Amino acid sequence: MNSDYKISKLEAIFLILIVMINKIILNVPKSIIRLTGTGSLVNIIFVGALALILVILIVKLFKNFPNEDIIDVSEYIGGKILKTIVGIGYIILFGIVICTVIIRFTELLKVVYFENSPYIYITGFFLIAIGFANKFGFKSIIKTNFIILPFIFASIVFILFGISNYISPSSLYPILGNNIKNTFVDGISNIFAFSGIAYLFFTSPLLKNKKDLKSIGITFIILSTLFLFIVVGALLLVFPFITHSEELLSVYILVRLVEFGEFIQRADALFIYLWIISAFSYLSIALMFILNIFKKLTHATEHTELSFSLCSIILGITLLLKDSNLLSFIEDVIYKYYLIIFVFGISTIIMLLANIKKKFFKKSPAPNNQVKT
Amino acid sequence: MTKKRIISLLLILFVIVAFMGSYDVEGIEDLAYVIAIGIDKSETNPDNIKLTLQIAKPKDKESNGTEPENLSIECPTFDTGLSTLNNSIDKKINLSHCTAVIISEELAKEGIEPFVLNLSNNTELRPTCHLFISKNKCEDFMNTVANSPDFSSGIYTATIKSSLSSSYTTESLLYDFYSTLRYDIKNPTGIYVGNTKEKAEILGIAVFKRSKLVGILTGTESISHNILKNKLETCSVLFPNPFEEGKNMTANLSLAKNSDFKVDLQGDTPHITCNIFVEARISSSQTTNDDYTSEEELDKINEALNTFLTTSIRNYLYKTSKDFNSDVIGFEGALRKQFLTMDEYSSRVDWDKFYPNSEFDIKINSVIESSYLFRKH
Repeated sequence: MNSDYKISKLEAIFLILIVMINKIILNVPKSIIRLTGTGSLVNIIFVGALALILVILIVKLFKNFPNEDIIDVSEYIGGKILKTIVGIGYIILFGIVICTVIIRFTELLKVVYFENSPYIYITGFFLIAIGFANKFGFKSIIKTNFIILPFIFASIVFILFGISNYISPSSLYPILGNNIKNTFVDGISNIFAFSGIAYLFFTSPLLKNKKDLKSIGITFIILSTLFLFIVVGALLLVFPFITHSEELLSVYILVRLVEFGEFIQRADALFIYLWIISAFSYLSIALMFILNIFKKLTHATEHTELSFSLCSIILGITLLLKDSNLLSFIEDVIYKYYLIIFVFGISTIIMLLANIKKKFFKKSPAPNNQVKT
Repeated sequence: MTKKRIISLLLILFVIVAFMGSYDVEGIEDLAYVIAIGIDKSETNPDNIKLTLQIAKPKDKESNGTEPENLSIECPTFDTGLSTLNNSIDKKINLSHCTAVIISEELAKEGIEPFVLNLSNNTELRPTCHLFISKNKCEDFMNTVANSPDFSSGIYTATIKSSLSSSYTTESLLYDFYSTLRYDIKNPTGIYVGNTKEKAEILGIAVFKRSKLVGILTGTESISHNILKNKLETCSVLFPNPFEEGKNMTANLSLAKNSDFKVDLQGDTPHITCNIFVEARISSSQTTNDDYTSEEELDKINEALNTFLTTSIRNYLYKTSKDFNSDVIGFEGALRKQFLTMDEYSSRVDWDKFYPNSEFDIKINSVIESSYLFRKH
């Protein structure tokens, strides 16, 4: 990042949690339920435990590289070629995130409120906002996120209270879903729900106190598992049909039921408003990471100046990806497996190799001490 | 810096101007608020439906409140009917305040899945909209409601609230109906209504087997239904007076705690045990000299009430299982709890085939809480 600002432990947890919250608002709970049915709750605990092991491993691997992120570490073990490959890999990942989130929210807003507004207006609205946020810089994005996240958390808790009248406990059974293989073997791919782990590979150099990385990772996994468990549970309890259906945004359908007596009815607008702000924050963070990687790959000095150029490219891509079948394929297949293979697999292997190199070839300079040509 | 601020301001203005038009284009005076939707079979074309919309119009400036206007049209689908009606009036039809969807019994017997799916997919319509099944034509029912001297835009909600407080029907929400259609753990129900020329009223519960209407439960059977569904608010039941043959007593019932079920599968026969917990207060009797202070007398009353409730609930359960083959309570959910996986469950159970063979064991745990103001007459 171009700023010297270092983030606190809580800011770092919030930074990663906003990713998770947005994934929960978007269709991640639905994707989990689609794969594992009524076994989803057990599956979440299972993949949550796996994610926790993975995070502890990643944190341990970063102990020897407290001031480096995955891009620096890639350069350390594979030189510029590996650095560029990994950098582009992450740019693609964050790019997919931005495009899919914008398209999903645009679809929702178009269906619910702006039926007659052109698609490009709504998409443009998101991109202008995140473009500006990145012009203002790293600190403002982190601070804004720090203010927003508690409200988003509160909104989800509020939803759970609002739907408590509609729950039907028997729809959670059979507890292990379709079969044990489906829940524990095929269901491992649901680990993609913990996509916030990708951001953990970039967090260490941003921290005020590098030792906080472990507690940040563990807190993130525990809170994410808890929230996923609650939201998936709520969906299964209120809409048992969700295991058999296809809908726009499952959490939005849940929100439509929220009524508090005669006084507060149709509160969905309030939730959508909060979610839009949350999406702004999430998208700004994803764009911030893209710009940061771009800076590392090209040594650009004024990388934030590129934010609107990148937004224009993203606008073009989102217009190309409007087809809902194509988007579902990207979300459910490409993004899911790309994340698992590239982030949870390749990035962890790179960290492992870097640790081996550091241990056995102690003469190799640490990535930040390498002479840049 | 100033240049940047000007650009930012221009951008903000651009966005505001761009969205302003779509924001205020539909004022309240431009919208016709639908309070109920009626769907009948077409009288002329068997493939069509007759759509009736009840719109609440503001009365003239001198008097407050609203007055109803019913619009009807024959159309192939709900959406085409809505578009045509939209075209025929000078305001845009808005469904966001609709509280009732009424479907005729005749149409419900043929299956209402397409209508429920269509309506559930509409973002304007509330998922908490009530679903009625009308004994008569919906148009007639809605006309009777419209001519009621008590008409207001909240008439349907008020009627349901009043009926639910006596437990003579059960709540049937559009989202819940859609959910039960899509997920086979229980069968859906609707609020059964009917009308004469003067009066529209709630008559009981319409029982469905998936999307088809298969039977009707009367007001008293609805009480058994609500007890088993844990939806009983309060109700009055008339049961035989244990002290004098041919005379009756009235008890006000409420649930002491939620009913629970145990389903034990023996071969192809489900043995269903229902544990029911009710509290009762004796409110009136056809005899005099009743004493609700003596424990012995209260025990006798309790026994008489238990016998009455057991018979009522058993009759209700055999009616829904043997006559309708419709598990509206969701006993299948209780059975699924005993299996770890769906594969194991599916290989062992064919609930649609087994449910009509069900045998019920009703255990009533009632507590008589004396009476109201007078404990001895």
